[in-house]
Amino acid sequence: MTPKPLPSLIAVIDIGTHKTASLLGQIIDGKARMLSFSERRTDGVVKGTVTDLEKLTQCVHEVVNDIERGSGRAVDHVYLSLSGPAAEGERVKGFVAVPAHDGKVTAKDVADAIASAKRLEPPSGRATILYMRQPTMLDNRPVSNPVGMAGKRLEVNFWRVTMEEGNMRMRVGMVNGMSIRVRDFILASHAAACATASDADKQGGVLVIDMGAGTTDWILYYKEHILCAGSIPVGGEHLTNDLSVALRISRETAEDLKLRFGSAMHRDTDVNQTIWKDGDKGVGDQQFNRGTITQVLSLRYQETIEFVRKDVLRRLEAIFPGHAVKLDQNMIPSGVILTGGSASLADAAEAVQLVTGLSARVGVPNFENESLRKPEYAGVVGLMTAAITDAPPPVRRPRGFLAQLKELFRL
Amino acid sequence: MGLFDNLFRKRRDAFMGPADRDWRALVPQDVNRVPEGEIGRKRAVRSKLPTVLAVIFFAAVVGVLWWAVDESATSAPAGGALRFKTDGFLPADFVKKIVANGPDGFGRDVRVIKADLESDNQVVAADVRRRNDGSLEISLRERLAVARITTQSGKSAPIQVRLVASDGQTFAGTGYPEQAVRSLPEIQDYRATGSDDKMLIEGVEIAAPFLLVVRTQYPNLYKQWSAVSLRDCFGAQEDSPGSNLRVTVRPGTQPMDRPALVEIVFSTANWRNELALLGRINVDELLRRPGTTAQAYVLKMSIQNRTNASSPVPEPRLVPAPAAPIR
Repeated sequence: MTPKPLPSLIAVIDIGTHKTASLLGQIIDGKARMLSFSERRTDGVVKGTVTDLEKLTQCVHEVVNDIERGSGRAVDHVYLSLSGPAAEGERVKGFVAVPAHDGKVTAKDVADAIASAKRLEPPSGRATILYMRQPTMLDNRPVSNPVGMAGKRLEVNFWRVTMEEGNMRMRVGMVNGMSIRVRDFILASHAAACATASDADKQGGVLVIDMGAGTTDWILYYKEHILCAGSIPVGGEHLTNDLSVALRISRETAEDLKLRFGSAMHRDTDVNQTIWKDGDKGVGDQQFNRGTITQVLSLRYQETIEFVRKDVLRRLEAIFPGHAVKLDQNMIPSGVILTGGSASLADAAEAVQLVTGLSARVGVPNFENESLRKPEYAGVVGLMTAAITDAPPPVRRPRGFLAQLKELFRL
Repeated sequence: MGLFDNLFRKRRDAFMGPADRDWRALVPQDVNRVPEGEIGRKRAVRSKLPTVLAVIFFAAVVGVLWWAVDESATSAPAGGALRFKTDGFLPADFVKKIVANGPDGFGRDVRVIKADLESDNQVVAADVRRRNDGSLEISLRERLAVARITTQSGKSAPIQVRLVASDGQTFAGTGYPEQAVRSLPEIQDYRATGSDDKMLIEGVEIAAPFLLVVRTQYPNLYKQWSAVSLRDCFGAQEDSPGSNLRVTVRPGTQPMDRPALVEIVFSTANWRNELALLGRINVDELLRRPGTTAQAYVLKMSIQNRTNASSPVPEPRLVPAPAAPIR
């Protein structure tokens, strides 16, 4: 089904484990101008999996209601984010033998190859959500546009994202309940990359890690294209949980301590620091050793990044079987971009650098509104950016009877 | 892909595999159902509210315009199914009687009702409309009475009073108050043919406009006049010498300490100028001049200075009234 051209009003909803954010923007000269923004605490989602649809529906409806009231505009379509274990990715390829005698590839050959790639049936019970273009190969040579080039075997590759059919029906139905259509799904990690990574980063190769509260999504770009993407069900809430168990304190207190005194790196100097929960040293105030906090957090944080590293390697080995794949500066010269709510933890980039051995930085979305220039909003801002970037160019329909007749017969 | 491509291209692979399970194809989106939850319902109301308000606003505007155009809405409907309005004295009963005159009654064609109403000389024009609820809306324009005449069809027949309109038509004067009829000057010494609404009076084509001008432009004179005699009015020969309109002045409207003015004589050819002159001269002062010894006088406006034949100038003169009482 051919996607429709971009509308002038774009609404995106990013459903996360911790918060649900929605952004409404107007497209003027190809750029998004924010009309309204809303975020609410998510209920009914644990580690990226929906556990209470009614609560989640209520939450989604509230954010839609907020952005409509904030902008005074009615929303007809929304883009939904796709993250967590619900979204599975795999590489699909289609190829054709170039039929021309001189071996020149035509646009029709490319279309046939794409059609054959998309004809590959997804796993049983799963629906195809989106295809993301990967490098096209002509006689095993990567080319960006094979039309007009000579060769024998044309191969097109896609990163296909699928979702369990019931889960997808549930999400679409939830949005339809507000008399709103789902315009498209956008992979959350791709959205985060659109908000934080530049074209040069993608051209060189970059790993974007979107560390949320319940899940950590990652996406790897290589030579401008998506090579692979994945998700692990570990996130910032695990840090809080570990701290709560280790210090025997409530989750709220643990969350507070994590934000105020937490760090993704443990240093020897931390052991000598004593911190107070409230700071007034009065009745009910508690004191903790900062070294204990940073040790617990850094262990879990670095372990999560290690899980991501292993997941990336596992995916790469599946794509390139028989090859010794290494995550190093040669493959990913632009390094790692860390974003999401848990990227705000102190020394997060340093921890990523330590684990992966790659240069790392915290990615902040480039957006006109300053209040949204924080790592935790990379997802929602990136959804808007991805919606604009990935939209097909407007179709110019021939005007006049003769022009239409000409188009029909392609004279 | 072009039509020729689709029809005649070479098919390299007859079986292209199963169709892609795209989510759009698998899940038809249903957005027309009733919104879920309180927020959804509020949102639905909010999204439809501008449309509903716009419809209410335009309905109100149309209603106000309808009410403004419907002038007869201010007059109370007569008999429930009839809205009646007139600029004269015709009563609603008269109209109802005419409207109901026929087997169909109020259901008759409005054009027939209009013709029936306009067949009465008292009515100049009738506007008859039928509203959506089936009721009739009638608006009448009546003739303006400027004089009255008394007729008797036979010696033993009763005397009838008919009113004379400004265009010379006579009518029964239905609905006119008795006082209003008596205050009108009476046309006397006329010659008539026909009877009732078909009555034609010789000379009324001059007398009626004369009286209309007096009534509208010289109301104080009009009040003092009790009768207009057409004895010397030659009708079609209005320019003939001696063709006059003789106006009788009410005796009770004059002071007792001076001679009375009993009659004013206007020429039928030059009465407009004579009226203008009469409006400017002081009749009371003329009658009080030394030398006015008679008890009653006649003011002759019809004597003209003929020094300039193209525009004769009236030359009013007081003439002692004859001893015999003037009718």
